Amino acid sequence: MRLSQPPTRPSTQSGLTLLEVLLAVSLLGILAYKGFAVLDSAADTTQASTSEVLVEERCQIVLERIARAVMSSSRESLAPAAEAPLSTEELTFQMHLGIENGEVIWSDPEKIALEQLENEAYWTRTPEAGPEQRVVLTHLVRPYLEGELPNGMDDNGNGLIDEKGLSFVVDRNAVHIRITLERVDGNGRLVTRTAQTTVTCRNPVPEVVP
Amino acid sequence: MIHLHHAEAAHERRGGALILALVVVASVAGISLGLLRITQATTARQSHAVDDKRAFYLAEAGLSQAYFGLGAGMSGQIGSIEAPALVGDGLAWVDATERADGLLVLRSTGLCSAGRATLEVVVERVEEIPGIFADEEISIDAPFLVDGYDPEQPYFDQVKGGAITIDPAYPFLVVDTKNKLLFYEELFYRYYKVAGNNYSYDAVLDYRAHQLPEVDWDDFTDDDGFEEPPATMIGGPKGVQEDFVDEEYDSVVDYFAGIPKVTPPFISPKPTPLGPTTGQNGVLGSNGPISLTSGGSTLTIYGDVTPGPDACVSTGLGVVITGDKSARPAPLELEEVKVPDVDLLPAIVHDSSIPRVLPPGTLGYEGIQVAPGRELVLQGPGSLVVGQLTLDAEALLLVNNEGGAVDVFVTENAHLSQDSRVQTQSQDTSQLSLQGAPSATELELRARSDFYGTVYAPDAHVAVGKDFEIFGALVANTLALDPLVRLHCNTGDELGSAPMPRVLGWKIQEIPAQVRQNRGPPEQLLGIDKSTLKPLAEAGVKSSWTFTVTYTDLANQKATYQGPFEKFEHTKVKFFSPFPMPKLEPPDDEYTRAHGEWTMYIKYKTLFNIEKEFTGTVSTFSKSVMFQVAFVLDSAFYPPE
Repeated sequence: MRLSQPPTRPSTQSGLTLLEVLLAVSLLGILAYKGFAVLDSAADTTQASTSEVLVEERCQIVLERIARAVMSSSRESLAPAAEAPLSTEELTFQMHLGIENGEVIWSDPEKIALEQLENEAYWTRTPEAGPEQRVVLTHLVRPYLEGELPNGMDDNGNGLIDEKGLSFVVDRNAVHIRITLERVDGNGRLVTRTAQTTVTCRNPVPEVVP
Repeated sequence: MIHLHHAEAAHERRGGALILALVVVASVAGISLGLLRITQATTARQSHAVDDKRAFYLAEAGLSQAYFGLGAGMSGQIGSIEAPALVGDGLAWVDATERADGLLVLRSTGLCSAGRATLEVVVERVEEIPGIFADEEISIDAPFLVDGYDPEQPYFDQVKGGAITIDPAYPFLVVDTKNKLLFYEELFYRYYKVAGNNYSYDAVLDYRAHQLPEVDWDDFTDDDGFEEPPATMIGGPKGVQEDFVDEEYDSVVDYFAGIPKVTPPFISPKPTPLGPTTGQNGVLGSNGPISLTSGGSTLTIYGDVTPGPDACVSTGLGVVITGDKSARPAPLELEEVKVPDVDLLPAIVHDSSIPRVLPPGTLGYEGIQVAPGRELVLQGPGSLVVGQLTLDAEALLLVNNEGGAVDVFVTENAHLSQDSRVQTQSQDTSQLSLQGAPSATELELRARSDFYGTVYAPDAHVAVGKDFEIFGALVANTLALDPLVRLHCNTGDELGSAPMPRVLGWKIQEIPAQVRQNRGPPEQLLGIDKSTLKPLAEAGVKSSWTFTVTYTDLANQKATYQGPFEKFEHTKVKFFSPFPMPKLEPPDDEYTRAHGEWTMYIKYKTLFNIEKEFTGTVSTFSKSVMFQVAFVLDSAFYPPE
């Protein structure tokens, strides 16, 4: 019985030495650190990229909404009508609603403007009867357009002086619209995007025709 | 036992690693999926935004095509939701709907991938001012000239033949060989001036001297500094009548007497007889009958004479009308003159040697009188409202409308005396209008003038003298023309073209419900085969034939209809009344002329209650079938392919 019994190995033979364990733990630690660093970097990149995309997207959406409002107006209803190198951070207009009895029906005056202190671009309308209606288009508007400083000069070389983060320039029947949005992403970095477009007022100025 | 214990322990450790690995993998997969969803959503949003913009542009393209099609005899309809037009890699269609007030609504929808956009414009059809027009009957007994010209080119460039040359044998005369007319040197200058060469009078003479260097022009200069043809050069082989030339030449000399140097622009005496002509495209119209006699001379209207509905044109001996004499299907509604709202200043009499200049802007006077030999300048752009406008003999009204349009509104009457002058700086007829307010009674236009503009006085009597040559349009309530008046319409320059309608409003509209919810591919959504669709430029629907008919309806009431042929509700007809005869007029459309006419199907009963069917062209129906129809059972109409 004793001879046939195989000799038992000491239990220590099946484990690892302390050195091995320490080495393994160190290696794993290094790997984990590197792995986390890579993941962290990827997350940062993703976050930055997402922030940029979101700001870009918001920029385009706001610009498009403003552009369509201007397109639906007539040149005569635009006020104030600043021409380059001046610009305004607000634009009042009236939109075409329809035609009744041969007369064009216009909306109550509507306004798209920049609230510089709040970094807000907003749309507002004050009906003849009833309270003011107000919609904030975005609260990411930069106080001044990208590259511009309030110094009485054209710093960004676009032909305008001290233009705000939302600016309108009227050129005959066309309106140049520029906007810069800015936000701080999760990593504390500033993401800035600028977009601009030029649209014409599609509604004609009523003319006296014999 | 010990083996078993070790084996179980090892098994437990392997399981733990697996679970750990699964958790890690699941976490990573979750994060990846989340990121993927975010990326997909962002991409989709961006893609939709781009698609929406593209759809917007497609809708604008549709609107543009429809709008400009209206000017070419199209209906404004382009394709339909069932068969839209192909534009780029998207689809578009335009629905044209006529409102009860006569305005036309064009609603264009563009589809591009997931993008959708609908835009709308409301337009007002503009009926072209038909050349020379009077609301009341026209009855003229005098030779006068009516023709038309393309305003894109100077009138004299379009004169038939255009063979205006200098004959060395008669260097004082410019000879229009085609029309056998003679022009004096001053007219020669004028010809060059209107042809766009802004030469001075002296420069024109220099030019002629350069062309004929062998002639010593000084030999032919009289004491006044004007050329006088020697008697030997009068008459001769060209058949120039000596008396005629002498008499006319003297009148030219008289005209310039006392003026040492002529500087352009100035107004020439009119050539007689009626002078050169383009020989086409004139329009003389009325809402009443038109009676023309030539006062013992010959009278040719180079173009159409269009009387009012149910009226006719009567002509005397020697009157020739080169165009159509058909009556208008309906009276022409003349738009009322809208006078600018301006406070009128007291009347003024300008009697100073210093020209009086009225600046740009809107001004109003109770009256303006320009004394003999004095000059009044209207500076454009601007509008002048005036109660009584009087130009005394030799007075000059200079309209400086090169910088902007000038509109003169007369609220009482205008008297431009025979020896006064009216000069317009611009030959663009849209830059000048002389309008008679509803309160105006008479515009007497006898000044010497090349008037490039529109005289529009639908409520006033307008009298035109022989020296008041109009290039543009003239609309009056009643019209009187002196002998030898020359009127040149700038309308009807190209058959088949209609005036562009006026845009009243543009707006973004709600997308049709059929395509609003589903953002799938447009052709799948609409269930259409793209290969069967026409491109945008070819998908327009032609204007219909205009149908004018009197009929008895099912309630035995007499009714009349005038409008698009396919919109006429035949099922309301009990039978067509024989008088007045039903009339079908084709759309004024080059495409239709080239491709044929509408075809129609009609199922009807005859007076003897026999059921019949007809398929064929509308003109065939109009000529032979229409009168058999007692009751319409069914009908359909198809535009030309």
